[in-house]
Amino acid sequence: MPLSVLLRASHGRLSRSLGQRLLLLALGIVVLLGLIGICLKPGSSFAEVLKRAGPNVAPTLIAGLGMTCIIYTGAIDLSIASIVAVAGSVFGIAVHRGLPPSICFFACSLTAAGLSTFNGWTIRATRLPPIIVTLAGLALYRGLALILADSAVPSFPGYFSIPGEALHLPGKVYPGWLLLGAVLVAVGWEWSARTPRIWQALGSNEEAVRLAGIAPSRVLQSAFLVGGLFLGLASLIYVTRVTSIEPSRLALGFELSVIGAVVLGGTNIFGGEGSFLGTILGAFFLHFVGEALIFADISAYWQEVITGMVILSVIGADCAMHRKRKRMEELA
Amino acid sequence: MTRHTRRQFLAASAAALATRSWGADRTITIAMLPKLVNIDYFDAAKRGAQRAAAELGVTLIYDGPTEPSGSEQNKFMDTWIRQGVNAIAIAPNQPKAMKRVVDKAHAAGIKVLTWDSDAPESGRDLFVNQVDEQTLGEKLIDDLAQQMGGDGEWAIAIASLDAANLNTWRRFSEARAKAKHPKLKLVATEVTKEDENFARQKMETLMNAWPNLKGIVAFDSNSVPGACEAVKRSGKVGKVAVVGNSTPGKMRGYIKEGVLQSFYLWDPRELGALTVRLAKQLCDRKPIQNGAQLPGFGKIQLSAADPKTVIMADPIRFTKDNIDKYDFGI
Amino acid sequence: MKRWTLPALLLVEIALFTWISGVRLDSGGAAWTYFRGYFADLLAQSAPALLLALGMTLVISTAGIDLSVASQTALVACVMSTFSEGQRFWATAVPIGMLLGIGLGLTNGWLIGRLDVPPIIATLGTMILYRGLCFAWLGEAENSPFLSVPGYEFLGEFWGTLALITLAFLGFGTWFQNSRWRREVLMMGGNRVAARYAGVPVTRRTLEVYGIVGFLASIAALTFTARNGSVSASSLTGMELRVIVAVVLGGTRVQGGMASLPGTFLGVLILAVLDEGLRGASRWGEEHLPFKLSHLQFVLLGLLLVAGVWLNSRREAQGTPKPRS
Repeated sequence: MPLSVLLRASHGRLSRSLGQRLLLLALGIVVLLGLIGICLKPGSSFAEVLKRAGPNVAPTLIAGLGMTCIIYTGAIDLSIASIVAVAGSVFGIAVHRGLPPSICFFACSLTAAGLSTFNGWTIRATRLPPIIVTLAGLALYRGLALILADSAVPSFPGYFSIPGEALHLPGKVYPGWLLLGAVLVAVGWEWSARTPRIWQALGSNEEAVRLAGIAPSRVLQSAFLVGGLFLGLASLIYVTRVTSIEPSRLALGFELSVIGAVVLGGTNIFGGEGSFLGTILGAFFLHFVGEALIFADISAYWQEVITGMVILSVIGADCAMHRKRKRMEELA
Repeated sequence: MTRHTRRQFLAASAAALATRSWGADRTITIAMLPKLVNIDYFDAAKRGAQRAAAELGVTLIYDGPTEPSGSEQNKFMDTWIRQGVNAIAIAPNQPKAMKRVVDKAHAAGIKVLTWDSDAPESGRDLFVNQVDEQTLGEKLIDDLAQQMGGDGEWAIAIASLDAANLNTWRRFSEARAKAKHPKLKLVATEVTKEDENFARQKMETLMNAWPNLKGIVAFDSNSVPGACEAVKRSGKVGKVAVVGNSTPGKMRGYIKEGVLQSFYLWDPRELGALTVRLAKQLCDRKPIQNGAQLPGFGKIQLSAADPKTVIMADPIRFTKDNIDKYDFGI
Repeated sequence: MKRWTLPALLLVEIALFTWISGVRLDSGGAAWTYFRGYFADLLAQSAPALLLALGMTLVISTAGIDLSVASQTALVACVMSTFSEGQRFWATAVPIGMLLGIGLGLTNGWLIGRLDVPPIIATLGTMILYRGLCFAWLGEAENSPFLSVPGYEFLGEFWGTLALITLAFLGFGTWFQNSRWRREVLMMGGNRVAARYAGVPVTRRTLEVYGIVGFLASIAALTFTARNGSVSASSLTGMELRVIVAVVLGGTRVQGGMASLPGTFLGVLILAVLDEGLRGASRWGEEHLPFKLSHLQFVLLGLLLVAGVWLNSRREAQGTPKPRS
């Protein structure tokens, strides 16, 4: 049976280099936490640092899980920040119309999931590279979010005010639980199901997938669909944790932190290799870098420099470590 | 006068009348360039400007970049100079980048005003200042010091480290703190990227990293609600004071809950309207003098330091008691 | 996509937006004056984008990408801005800026060529890093020594930018078109492994390509500062995206192996005309559209990109035998 051969040939559980990356990240997180521990002042609470990490990292992490599905196949989605903006606009309009909270939540998530699926469909239909289609989406959806808000709300003041506690439940009260749920589903699914590995197979060798009797375009579509479901959840948390939603600036630069978390986590940007666990560690690592910078009292002028250096050194060190092996593979 | 000549005369005078009315039809065009479009503050200013333009019978163009960028604004200036508008009012993102376009506009006979923030070295004809920078910066820190009891650690939340007017206010606040409130200690300055959620996260961490923090000054409309949310969630309401400038719409909930006691703003609609009125005044070559009456606005108040600066009003201090009295449309 | 598609698109854009903006072109003289100003502004404004796009074309044709171009340009400009004004500026700031630009580009090349970091990740990291260095270097300051330097302003004017652009596109382009270097670079983009087997010094070529991007970024910094007279740490933010869009719109294949310098030139101009047109049409938009014109800018940019590349890929598909499912 060709499929089972293919799945065995594509990376099984964790390849050695991926395992090393996960260790490196885990070590990095321990070091960062240690650094924060050293910088604690009397009255600061270390438990607080840990307790806040989950809820704060939730949108990036959950969107990262979705992005991991997409990057597995060798595709990428650059438009997620603008998709969050459209979801925010839809949510704002629903709230403005006075719809019940559950329907507003549903509309928000469904919009995000739908647009991600639409990205997949467009890639299928036009056969254009995903980076191009989603780069276009990055601009197009931002415009869509603004046009929606402007045409649905007379004399739109530039933002939606979200009043009341009920509308903020997913973002302010339950993000930790939602995160836990998403993480458990993702990791458990990766361990048992075969779909994630078919995505990886597509990313590592499209021709082989085709010869195994699976339509590559449908595999790609399913990755964007599942990625969209994760993004829908992430959007919901993102949108409901702020009191005012500005479609023009909501989630600006979100795609960079999400893709950053995914590739830090060892997922190959060209597809075919990676793990949800890596994305989870990557997102936490980035979060704790930001925290440590504040605890270590680094001036705001230098924070970006250090963040950039840290990202580059983790990935650079990893790539340098495996460079020889990769070259050999390339030439073999 | 024969019939023939009379008819000729009538035709001639009708023609003359027609030309005159066509001449009057060529209304003054005023172009207004905000720092960026699609945000509440400048959208409100636009509504005010439109109202004033309709009253005065001038044509208004209101457009700008989608990112706060000086070089993008210069492109708008180039376009409008080519189209031949009568006056351009710009809220510069990068004041020193304007010299070339202001010279070019003047060469084309176009009046240039600055509004919202100034470009003093550019040679602009007038600056419409919504509020005296020094007054605002000092009021913010004085208010905070009073709420903190004049003693303790404070921190700054600011949208960007190179936004011109935010940093001017920040400098005045810091200078005032050093001079008048020696017991206040500035412990940190954090960048919030104009993002409410990002501001909230940073302020939460900051309050944990500096457990004795007693006050936060937030310098833009998204940092203030972010800081308030952080204070609320950390359970430090009443222990950490927040002041800043933000919009009534965004702050109403927090101020009624008592998370913060006060914030500052001016009416951006009034600022937009005043800018259009003064631009019209410049185009009509009417003088702008201290104490003179400006139709639709009131008495003009010029800055003591610079006779080419008009000051709109003192900033309004919003509290629980007066917030329902104001509606800036944002 | 036919050879004439891009020029035709450009002409249609210009005609449409001239009509919409409501400029009166009653006489030949008026039209001449208007269009002279129009094209002078257009070229001078687009100079940084054109130079960066030239570099980006090379990078993308090697199947790479450089997200850090805007940060590189801004960092060079920031560093140059701290030198003292006057005649000495030419002898100090300008050469140092160029060296710095090359250095920043080579750093990218080193990460990608030597350490084998995927280009999109390496340059994402340096994009953040270089931008961070801008803030660390300048802080909140906005420096403006440029216009006090004798002769500097010329670089931002029509003739100055025309000279630079001609030099870059015609001079470099002519050499590039017929060089062995071009074939090697395209070969790397088409198939890296095959290129290595064929004896192409892949690492070296990678360093060269990114080094050239860095050098072009420093020239772009010259034209940018000459045009605007000042720089601050956040200058040029977001420019990389527009440059990438222009390059792929111009027909350079994003998977590498194919480059078109004339296409890149037209791609940049098409985007610039679109921007310029929307700026000039604000009054028309206010009267005729139910939403703001600036919103349309995003939508048009997205549609233009997809349509352009789609047309392009159809031409390619006609040449390749195997249809993909």
